[in-house]
Amino acid sequence: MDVVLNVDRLVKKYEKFSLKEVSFQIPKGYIMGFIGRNGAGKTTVIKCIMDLIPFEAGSIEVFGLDSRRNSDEIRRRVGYVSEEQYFYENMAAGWNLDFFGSFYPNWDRDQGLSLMKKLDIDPSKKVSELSKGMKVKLALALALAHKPELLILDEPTSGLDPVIRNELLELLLEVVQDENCSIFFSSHITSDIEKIADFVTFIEDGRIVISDEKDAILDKWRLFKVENSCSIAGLSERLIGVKKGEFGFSGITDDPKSFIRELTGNYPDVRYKIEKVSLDDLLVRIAREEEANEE
Amino acid sequence: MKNETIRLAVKDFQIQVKSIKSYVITLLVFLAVFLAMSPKQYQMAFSMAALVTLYRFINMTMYEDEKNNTLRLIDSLPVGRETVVRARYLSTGILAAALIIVLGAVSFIAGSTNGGASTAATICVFLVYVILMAVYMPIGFKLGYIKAVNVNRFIFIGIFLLIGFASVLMGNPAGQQGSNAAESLTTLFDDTSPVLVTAIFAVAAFLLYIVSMKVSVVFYKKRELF
Repeated sequence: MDVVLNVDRLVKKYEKFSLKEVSFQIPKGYIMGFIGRNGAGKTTVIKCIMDLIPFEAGSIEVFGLDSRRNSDEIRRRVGYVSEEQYFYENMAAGWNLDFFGSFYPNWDRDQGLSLMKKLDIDPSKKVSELSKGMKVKLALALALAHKPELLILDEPTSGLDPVIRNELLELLLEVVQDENCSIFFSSHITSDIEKIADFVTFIEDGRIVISDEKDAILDKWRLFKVENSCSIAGLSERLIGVKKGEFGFSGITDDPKSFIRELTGNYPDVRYKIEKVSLDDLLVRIAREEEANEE
Repeated sequence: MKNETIRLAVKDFQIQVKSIKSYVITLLVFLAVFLAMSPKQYQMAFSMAALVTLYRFINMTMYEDEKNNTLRLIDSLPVGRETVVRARYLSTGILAAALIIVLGAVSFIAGSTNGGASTAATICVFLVYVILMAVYMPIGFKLGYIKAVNVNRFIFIGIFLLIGFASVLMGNPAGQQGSNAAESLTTLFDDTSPVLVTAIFAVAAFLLYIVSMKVSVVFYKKRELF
């Protein structure tokens, strides 16, 4: 499988936060969702990939090229939508598209204009008159109209209403039909990622906790709800993000068979439930586990 | 020169097209004020009005980029930071050259009784102001618009004092009160060719402008935009 993005043991240190040997890969032609809470390190990883900030250790290869030595070449082939949209607010949307797009060698003005039309953006309107959602759409039109091989989107759906979010997700699904384009899509809105991603990477406190195919993750991880009759000690160590309640405890594991074996071995009469997990459950439980570890 | 440099330089003008009317009004107001303050010193008035235009242009381009945070988007394009700096110097240089031509023409018409000396003096004073801008721009690239404007106030006061001191040093043979740099230069041209002095000023301004650009590149490459 061809790899378009290979992040290997990336380390970036700030005073109060650091990326801790972040590693993951995106295969060509797939969508990878990058999930994490606010402040988990998603944007920092993306800025390192785009060579917008320096990093201390590790390596990043995009299309097999070193991200620091070949940043211009990489940027020519990548479509990037940042968390906030930056345009010349007093200029028309169409002018902004033409101006910024003209720096890409594969820039297709007609495609840019047709994307604007499709996304209901009036090219003659000043950017300052566009809503946040419209600005995101404009940024997406700019990112797509130079035919990128990799689309990097940093929380593009954050703060948008469900209708616009859905429109954007559908557009991304259309884009990836063209197998030449891969998408790296960060968000803390797990339902968006669940809808469109083929692969999912979880980041928590600057560390990658899971990176795998979405279906494999959803197949592998299970939520256990165990009644109060058995002791948590010992068993809870086998679960992640344990939540204690009045009637028992719950937690998730990626090895349900061995957990069941241990649970029923120690407590033959125990009553428990197994449920499938959603990406949202995973994010919440992983965050809870990290907080518990910090305490 | 790269296409990217030209596109970025053209952008500096495009984003200010809607401000042309306000530029003209400001220019005329400043011209009127300076002429009212000392009608005989029209060279200074012309130079000061041109300086205000150039200074405002630089500030507006920096302000637009900072207000909209567009330097961040430009930084994510396949364009090196060196190109961004070069483009800003190109657009400012084009405007400065245009102002020199206009300034020369206006000053020549106004001072036609005085041969080329007053025209040359006006241009030389403006070239000193271009040097001032060359000092200002690296500060802008290092600190950004808001901080640079504040720092610049002090630098400008210092440099204006220096210019005044220099004009006194250059002498005032007539013993007149209120002598200024342009008058002193006009006097200097009595002994030296105006063309030669203007050429020396132009070369000095150009060289300093290039040095300023190199310094700006170093500053801007190190600046953290994110």
